Amino acid sequence: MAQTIRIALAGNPNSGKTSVFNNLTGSRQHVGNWPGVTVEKKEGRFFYDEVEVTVVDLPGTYGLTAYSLDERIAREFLLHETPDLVVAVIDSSNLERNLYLVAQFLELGLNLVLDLNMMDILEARGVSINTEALSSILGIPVVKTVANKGIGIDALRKAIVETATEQQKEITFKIDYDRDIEAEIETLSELLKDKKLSKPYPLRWLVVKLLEGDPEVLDQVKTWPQGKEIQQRVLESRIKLERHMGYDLETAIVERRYGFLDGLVRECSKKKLGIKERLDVSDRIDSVVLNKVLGIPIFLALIWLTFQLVFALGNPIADWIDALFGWLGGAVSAGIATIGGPVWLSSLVSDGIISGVGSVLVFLPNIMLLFLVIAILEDSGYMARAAFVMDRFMHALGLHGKSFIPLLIGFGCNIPGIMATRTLESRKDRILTILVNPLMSCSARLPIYILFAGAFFSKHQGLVLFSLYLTGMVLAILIARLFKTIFFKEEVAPLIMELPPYRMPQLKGVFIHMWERGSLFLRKAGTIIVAGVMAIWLLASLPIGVEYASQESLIGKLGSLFAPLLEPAGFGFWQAAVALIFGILAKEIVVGTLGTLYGVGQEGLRVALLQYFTPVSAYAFMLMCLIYIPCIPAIATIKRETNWRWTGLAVGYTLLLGWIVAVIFFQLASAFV
Amino acid sequence: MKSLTQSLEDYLEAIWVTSLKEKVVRVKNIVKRLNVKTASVVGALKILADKGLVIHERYGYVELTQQGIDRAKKIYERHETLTKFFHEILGIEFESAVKDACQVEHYLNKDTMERIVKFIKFIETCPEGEPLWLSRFHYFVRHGEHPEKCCREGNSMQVDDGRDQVNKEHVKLSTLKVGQEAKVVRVSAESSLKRRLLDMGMVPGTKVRLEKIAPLGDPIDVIVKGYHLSLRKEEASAITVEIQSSAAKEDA
Repeated sequence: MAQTIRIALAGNPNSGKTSVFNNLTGSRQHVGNWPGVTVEKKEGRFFYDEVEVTVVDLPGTYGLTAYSLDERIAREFLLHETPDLVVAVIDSSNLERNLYLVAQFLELGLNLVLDLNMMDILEARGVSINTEALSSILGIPVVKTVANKGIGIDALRKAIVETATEQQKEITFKIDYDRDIEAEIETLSELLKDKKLSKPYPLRWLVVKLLEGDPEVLDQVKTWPQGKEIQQRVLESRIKLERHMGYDLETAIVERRYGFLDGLVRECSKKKLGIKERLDVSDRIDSVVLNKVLGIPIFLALIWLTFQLVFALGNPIADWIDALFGWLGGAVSAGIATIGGPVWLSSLVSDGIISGVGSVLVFLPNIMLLFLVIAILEDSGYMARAAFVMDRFMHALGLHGKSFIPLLIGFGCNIPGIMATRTLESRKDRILTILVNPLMSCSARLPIYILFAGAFFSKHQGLVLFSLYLTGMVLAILIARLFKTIFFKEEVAPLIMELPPYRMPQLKGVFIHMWERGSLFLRKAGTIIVAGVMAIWLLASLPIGVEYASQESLIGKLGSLFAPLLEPAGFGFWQAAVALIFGILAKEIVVGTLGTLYGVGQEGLRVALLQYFTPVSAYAFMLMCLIYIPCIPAIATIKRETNWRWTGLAVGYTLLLGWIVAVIFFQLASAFV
Repeated sequence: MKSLTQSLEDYLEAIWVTSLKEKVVRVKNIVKRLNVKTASVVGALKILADKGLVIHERYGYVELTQQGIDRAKKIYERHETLTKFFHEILGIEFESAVKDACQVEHYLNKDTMERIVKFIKFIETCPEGEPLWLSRFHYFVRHGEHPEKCCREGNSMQVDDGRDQVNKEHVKLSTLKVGQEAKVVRVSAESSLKRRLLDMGMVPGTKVRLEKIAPLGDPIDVIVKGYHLSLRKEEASAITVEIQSSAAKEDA
């Protein structure tokens, strides 16, 4: 009998859940997003004993409250999509806190299998767990695994399939919340008993949540007939209990839950995990890595290494891809010409399609390498340390410790920089970091600076370059603060972050991670990039018969149209405007476009520029190139990571800010020079 | 006991206070202290002498009778009490508190006064020092808002009892020194932060240890339930702990 079941993997962050998922499903994975949000949703499949099992990987969470997005997603899924079974993956070396989530799953009445992962770490500490006792107290099957070494995975598959296909047992698990609370639970349960509305929630869970003051459940109850009455009763119970206990009920309930787990861990494990016993390898590494003196130098050194790996190693490959597509475009258009194809067709194929696809693939080496490094940093446990070290500084700028790496990577290229914000948990921090990322002057803007600084400021090139990078950073800080006060005034993003023990990253896991995120860029951002490149090609080629990107083309006309607007910034001529429009494709194109439009090659460009620009307007132009509109791939990536509204804001504010800064600079500098 | 007018009370008090400082009390001391004319003082002394509260020979020293001393002490205490109430409890500047106490003391009736005295005694004799709600009130005065959103949506009451008293060992987690161990007493923060902290294991009675402080001074690394948790000092200050060991060997 071919049977299909659907299960969910749930657990704390850093519990090795991803490892379990990868080992369960192998390469049969699909990555998407949870509906309406940009939280990754992974699905995979495996077969066991002729049963097809679909595995949904839930976001790693510490609890099941309605306060955080990840927790809400997990809770919604468990409550409303009712998987056949849930595998609770826990870090055995951190039993008590990990079991806290499991206790909540049990209260929810889920069909559970408990996976005690990372058993090796626990055993290395001389602690053993009595799985039979644990299993009988919790009333669920318990499996031991060491997922990153593939140990116990088959046993887990077996337990999953067996448990899911059996008749679900009556839930006997119950945490005793003490006499007083239990009495109130009982009265409230009586009140809610015949309300069919309480479905799909288990009654006891619902009552406990009401007493805990869970905002979502409270809101839901409000909509019921007699909702007001129930609310009133809950409130009375709460006040009564709080008065009696002397502190608030939510604390009391969580305390009892932990109290139960404390006892459970004591009973089922041989050597209690005391506070002092944990001075292990991880702590020794931390005493160096988080050292007062060495912490920051080590962090900077690792970042430098990341940079080197991503760009020094990636750029030659990117150049090679670029050259390949350039050659391919040339060859194809030559081929079309020899068989007598029309000029527009060869232009469409070479300038439009091939260069469009090329401009997507050219980012791939950097992005793949970046995600490789990030996966290593994350899986090893260093990412949390990096945030720990940098948080003070970044928090002062209104951002999060983890924002540092995405911003720094932005100096290489904004696209991986924006994608690197995935390591940030809070929406506010992510969006702010994404929005200001384009102000980090990426390496594609460097050719523009080199050209102009070389032509106009040959004696102070270094200083000019430095001033531009600095301007970008200062603006980023100001904009981050501004947007924070405008859009996220109410949102507080506290830093409450686990520093997980260091672990050896698993090669397979790291590559799966890299590939998932990299291919996501290809699929989602890629289409927008190709479309953008095509649109610019059309503008440069229409009306039919016109010379590509000449003044008579649509883009030339657009340039002439916008030129007067650029007058106050000192470069009000159509060539500059067209170059800027082309620069939206990729910033480095500005240089080539200017060369083409002035009818000179790369070599003659400096001389040509001297006729059109003054040092002041040249600097204003560089400022404009630094700030204005992110390139199309960056726009596509922002859209991929947020939504059109934030993307629109990113495009709009950079354009406006670039223009304002260029104009202010030009006007002030002209007055003084 | 016959009542005295406000100014007579002031004179009586002034004489008593002066008598504590000076060997003898002269008319000019009182003139100086109360900033009034000599004639007024002489007039007042005459009335007080008539009431049997002072003994005053013309051009001689002023002396209080036993009855006068008792009376003056009461007035003085009342004044002190009110000053305390205004200054220490309501948090009014000392000088204004003294002035207002002078003004108000004569108008309060006995019951009100007694109640205020009791109130102050209640606070002063509190075995655990200044009650938490009072420090909260002072915070409220300074900042115009509650220190934590303790009144969640107005439907949950913050109940104070022994657990909520601040004594010497109760400090904020953010103030621990490296290596110091403590026990969680309570978490008081807005609901989502509080819940997150509770979920992470910061429940009352849990042992915590400050393991490290980040190179830039913030955040901190705390061991709780056997794992490392990092928090900004901002978040850590929502957690009240009771110090268990003051030995901070690693602290430099």
